[in-house]
Amino acid sequence: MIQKTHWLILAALLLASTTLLAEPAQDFTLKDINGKNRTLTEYLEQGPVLIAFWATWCVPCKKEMPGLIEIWQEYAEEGLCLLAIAVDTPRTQSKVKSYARSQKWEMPVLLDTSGNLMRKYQGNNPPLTVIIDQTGEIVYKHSGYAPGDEEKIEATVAMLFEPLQLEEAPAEEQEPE
Amino acid sequence: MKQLAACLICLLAVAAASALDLTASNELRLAVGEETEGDATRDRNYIENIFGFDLSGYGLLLHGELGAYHPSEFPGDGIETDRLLAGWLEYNGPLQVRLGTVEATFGRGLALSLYRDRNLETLRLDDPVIPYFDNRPLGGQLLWWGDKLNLNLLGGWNDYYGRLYGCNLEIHVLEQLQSGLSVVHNVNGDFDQTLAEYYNDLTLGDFSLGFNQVFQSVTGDDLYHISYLNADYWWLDFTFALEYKFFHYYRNRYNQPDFMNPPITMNEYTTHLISRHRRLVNFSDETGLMLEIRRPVGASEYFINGAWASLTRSEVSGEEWLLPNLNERYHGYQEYFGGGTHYLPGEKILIWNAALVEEAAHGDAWTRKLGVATEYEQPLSGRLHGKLLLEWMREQNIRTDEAFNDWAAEASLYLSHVGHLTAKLDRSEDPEATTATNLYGAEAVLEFFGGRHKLVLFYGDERGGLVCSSGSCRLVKPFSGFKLSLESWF
Repeated sequence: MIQKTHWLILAALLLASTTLLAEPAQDFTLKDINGKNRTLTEYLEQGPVLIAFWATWCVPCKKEMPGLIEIWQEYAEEGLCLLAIAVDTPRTQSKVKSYARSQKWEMPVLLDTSGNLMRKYQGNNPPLTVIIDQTGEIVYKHSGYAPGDEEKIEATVAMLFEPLQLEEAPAEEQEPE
Repeated sequence: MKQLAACLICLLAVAAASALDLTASNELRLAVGEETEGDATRDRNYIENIFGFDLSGYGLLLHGELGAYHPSEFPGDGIETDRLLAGWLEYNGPLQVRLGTVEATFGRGLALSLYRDRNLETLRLDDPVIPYFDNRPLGGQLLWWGDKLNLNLLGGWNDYYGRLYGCNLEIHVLEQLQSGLSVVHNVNGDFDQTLAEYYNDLTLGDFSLGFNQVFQSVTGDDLYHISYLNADYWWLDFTFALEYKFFHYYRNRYNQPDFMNPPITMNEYTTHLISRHRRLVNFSDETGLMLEIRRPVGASEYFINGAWASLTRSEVSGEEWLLPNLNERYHGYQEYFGGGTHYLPGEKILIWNAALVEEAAHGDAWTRKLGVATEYEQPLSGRLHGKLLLEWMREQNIRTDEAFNDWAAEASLYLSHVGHLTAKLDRSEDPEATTATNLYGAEAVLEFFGGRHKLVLFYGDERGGLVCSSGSCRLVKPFSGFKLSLESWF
């Protein structure tokens, strides 16, 4: 049976998780499917980053991806980057490039063959979706996929660009003066 | 558990009192029920907790994973232990230096793959101390990423490898070509092994080719060789993919190859029933070939593939063959899959898969499995979505013509960012099955505190057999009872 200590630890974890909200994204270097080294920093220089951890054998990941691509296409001009990070181990790693190109994906596809990066972002299994704002803070993280998840992801992305739009709006109003 | 509590309190105190960043995750799993083995039924209770943390700042990262198993879910009767599963101190700057648990994959994992996987069986050590597969040694590692060169140097020790040294150099001088060289050496008592690997990945327009070759030398034994090739060609909207493997590894003193993670060169099954009877790749002696064609059509996508495999040589004559030999004596195997994914108007999704799998256990007659799986998903009301899953599989012994059917059905209700409820039916008409014909189960998944916690509750019966997750599988016994898992991160 579960001892009292176990429950105390669980309670502490629950409490801690509600108090520690800000989470910095850990930088990384991964290879893309063309063999080039890529870092998180280089993408953050362009704008916020939407990361989709996926795998070729993961059915929910494949269901989620079209929605994420739509969000990316909507905000790409404003600087949003979408990174599709495949966590296929060497067992299925060869299928990643084949699949990504068959889908005509235009976003960068990176390889996390050991799954280390996904675990650094506290994910056990794909899909894991992470949104990092331009200051490098994680503002959204969600494990698993259920239909309709795209709405919250889009709302979070939209919020990241709201301050920009608000800053731009008064400037336009002042022009006639 | 007391150590875990103390560790948690210390971490929170350190993070609060300094400019260091703390992130952590916790995974609790428990079960109360019974399992069946043959005609015998016995209690099956376990509780295990894995706590992981990252404390970072000033270019340094301290990582730790603590496990508490009372007992563990696997293997067999489970292991009673509280221990540090992994831990390292990492410096991240122009290069990365790590001291502690070493993780690495060289190339496609043919020469070295140091990793852990909860979904694989534990290593067959003389005295297993960890419940899951984990071959990561304790040692040091240096990684350097350059524009044209990547270097990975490591050295370490564990019970499985003994002393282990590895070096991997990747060269990316030409845009289209990526090459790599690896050397791995380990000494464990009298066992002295060296592996040398080279690999190339070439992309020319719509054509891509990868080739890996490994030579393995073991003290007092022959030179073994392992080859792997994959090629892709994209033409119009079609994707043509080919994979070929030739694995002939030396089996170590635990009668298993060291390398548990090379390419499988088969379809990665995504359906329950066929997965339950999937072929386990024989990494020390297997040749195989896979072909796949994939094509999107409008809002749909279709694929077909075929894979063939067998032993690499005749046990009688020693004759070696490069292509699979589809003969009962050589453990012949073939599979054919076809499927489609359709994104229908109104956010509906239909996925279907059909499979024909034939396998000859060594010296036995062929068994044939024919299966169909469908999944349908549609919005119901507001944020509420529904999903239906239906599967059928027929298994037949070709020599005796005996056959039986398996069925599986699931109905789920999803509420985005809240959770889902699933009702499950598993029907097997297998005359040799030790469990009831119909098994029922219910699963509830609940997310709370902004998705920072995911609670999974299951009550009912599970058939057992091979259970696959994260692309790998393990053999589990039939279970009846209650299961809980709670994943948290902060």
